[in-house]
Amino acid sequence: MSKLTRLLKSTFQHFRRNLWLSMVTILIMGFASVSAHVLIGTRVLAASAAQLLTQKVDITVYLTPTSNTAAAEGVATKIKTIPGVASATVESAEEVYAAFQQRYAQESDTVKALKAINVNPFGPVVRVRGNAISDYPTIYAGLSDPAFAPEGVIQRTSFDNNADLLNRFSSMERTIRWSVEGVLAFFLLLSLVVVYNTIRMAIFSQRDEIGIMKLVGASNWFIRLPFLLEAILYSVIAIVVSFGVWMALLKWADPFIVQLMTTSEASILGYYQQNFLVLVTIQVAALALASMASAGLAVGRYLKV
Amino acid sequence: MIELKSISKTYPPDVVALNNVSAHIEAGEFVSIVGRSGTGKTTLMKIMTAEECPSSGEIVIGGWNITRISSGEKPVLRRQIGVVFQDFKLLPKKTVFENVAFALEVCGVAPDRIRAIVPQVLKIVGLEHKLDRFPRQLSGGEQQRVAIARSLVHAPKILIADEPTGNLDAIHAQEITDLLLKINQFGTTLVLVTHNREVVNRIRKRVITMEHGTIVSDQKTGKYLL
Ligand SMILES: Nc1ncnc2c1ncn2[C@@H]1O[C@H](COP(=O)(O)OP(=O)(O)OP(=O)(O)O)[C@@H](O)[C@H]1O
Ligand SMILES: [Mg+2]
Repeated sequence: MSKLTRLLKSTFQHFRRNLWLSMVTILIMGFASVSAHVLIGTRVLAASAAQLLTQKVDITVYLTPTSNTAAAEGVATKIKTIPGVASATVESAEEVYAAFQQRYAQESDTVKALKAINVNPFGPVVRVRGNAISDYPTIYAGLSDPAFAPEGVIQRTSFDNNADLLNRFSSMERTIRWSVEGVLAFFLLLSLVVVYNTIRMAIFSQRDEIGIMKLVGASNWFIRLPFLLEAILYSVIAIVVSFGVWMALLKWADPFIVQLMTTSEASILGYYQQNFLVLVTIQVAALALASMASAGLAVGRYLKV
Repeated sequence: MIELKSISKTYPPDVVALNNVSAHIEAGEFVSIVGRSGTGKTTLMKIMTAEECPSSGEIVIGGWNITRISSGEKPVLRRQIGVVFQDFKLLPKKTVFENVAFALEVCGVAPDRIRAIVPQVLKIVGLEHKLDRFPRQLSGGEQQRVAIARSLVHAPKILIADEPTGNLDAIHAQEITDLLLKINQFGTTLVLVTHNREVVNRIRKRVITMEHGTIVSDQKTGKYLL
C-alpha cells in the first residue's frame, strides 16, 4: 500500500516538475482524441444521411390506364420474386389520381384541365424498393423481362435516380473520412514522439534522484514505473479533457444538426450517450497503451538500471 | 566478506583500469585503499557495488558471487552495501530528514518504520538536532554525515567510502574519519578510498596501495606510502 502511494506520489511529482511539457503532451494527445471524435461524428452523420437518401430511391412501374388494381397486384407479386427487392406496393389508379390532384392543387389550371376530361387518365402504379442501393441496377434490369407482366400491362418504368446522388455523397464521405483519419494518425504519431521526448526529459531532470535510488537499492521497477505511469496519466487527462470539450460542443451543436438532417438518427450526442463507456474505454486504452509503449522505449533507452 | 579473484577491468576501447587484482577482506575489517589518481580505485569500488562488471576474474561478496549479477538482483546487493562519495550526492530540495528518508521510501519501507529509522541513523552521525535543515544550510562535513547516515539506513554489512573527505578541510576530515571508525566498531566492514595522508595514518589499520591498476602493497597496519 505504501509502495503504491509512493509510486503515485512520484508520478505526480514528475508531472508537476515538467508542467509545461506535460501540458503540451496532453494538448497533442487531446488533438488526437478530438480527431477520433470528429471521425466518429462523421460516421454517425454519414450513416444517417445514407439512410435518408436510400429511402428516397425507388423504382416506379406505371401500368396502362386500362389495367385494374388486381392486375397491378399480380405484377407486384411477381416483382417481389426478383432478388434484392424489399417491397413492391400497389397504388390504385384512384390513389394516383388523388395524389396528382393534391400535388397540383396550387396550379388550378392543371387541375381544371384534368377535371375537364372527366376521366382518370392514370393507371395503377407499383412502387419498388430494394434492400440496398446496390440492388437497384439488377432490379431495374430484371423489370424489363416480359415475364413480369402480360403484354401491354406495363406502360413504362421510371428509376428515380437518387442513387447517383448517393454515390457522390458516399465518395465525398470517404474523402472526408480519409482526411480525418490522416489527421488522427498524424496527431497520434506526434503524441508518441512527444511522449517519448517528455519522458526522456523527465529522466534527465531526475537523474540525481535516479542515481541515488539505484545507490540505495530501489528495485528497478520502482525506478521505472513512475515514468510509465506518467504516460498513462497524460493519456487519461487528455481523454477526460477531450471528452469534456467534445460533449459540451455536442450539447450545443446537436439540436442544429438534428434539425438540419431532419432525423434523430443524426444525433451524435445520442450516439455518444448510448455508447459512452465503450467509447471512453476504447480511447483511454488505445492512447494509454500507445503512449506507454513510447514511454517504455524512452525508459529502455535512457534509464539504465 | 569481500573476495577479489584476479580482477581485471578494461574500459573500451583499451583503458586498462585494473589488472589482475586479488584481495580478501574479512568481515569487520577496516581497509584503506590508497593510490595516485587514475590507478583504478573508483573502478574497484564500482565493481564491488556491481556498477561495473569485471572484464575478467571473479568477485564474491558475503558468499555471493556477483561477477555476473543480473540487473534484477543488483538492488538486493545494494541494500547490503552502503556507499558514500566525495560529492555527498544529497538532494538539494530535500531536508536532512527527507534525504535520509528518501533511501527508505524508494525501497518501499512503511512510513512508521521510516519515522523510527531516520532519527536513529541521524543520531549515529550526530545530526539529530538538524533534521529540518537543507543541505545548503550545512557545512561540508555535516553534509557528508548526512550522506553517511543515508548509507546506513538498510543496516549494511559493508560500507564503501570513495574519498569521503576529498572536499573537506582537515578538521572535518578528521571528524568523518572518526565517524567511519565508530561505524566500523559496530561491526560494519569498511572500505575507504582516500588520498589523505593524515586520514590513513590516523586510522592505523590495513592499507592497500595501488598503482597502475595493480596492488603494490598490502599492509596489516599500514601507513600512507606514496
Ligand atoms: N567509464 C569509463 N570509461 C573509460 N575509462 C574510464 C572510465 N572510468 C574510469 N576510466 C579510466 O580508468 C582509469 C581508472 O579510473 P578510476 O576512476 O578507477 O581511478 P581512481 O583511482 O579512482 O582515480 P582518482 O583518484 O582520480 O579518483 C583511469 O585511467 C580512467 O580514465
Ligand atoms: Mg576515484
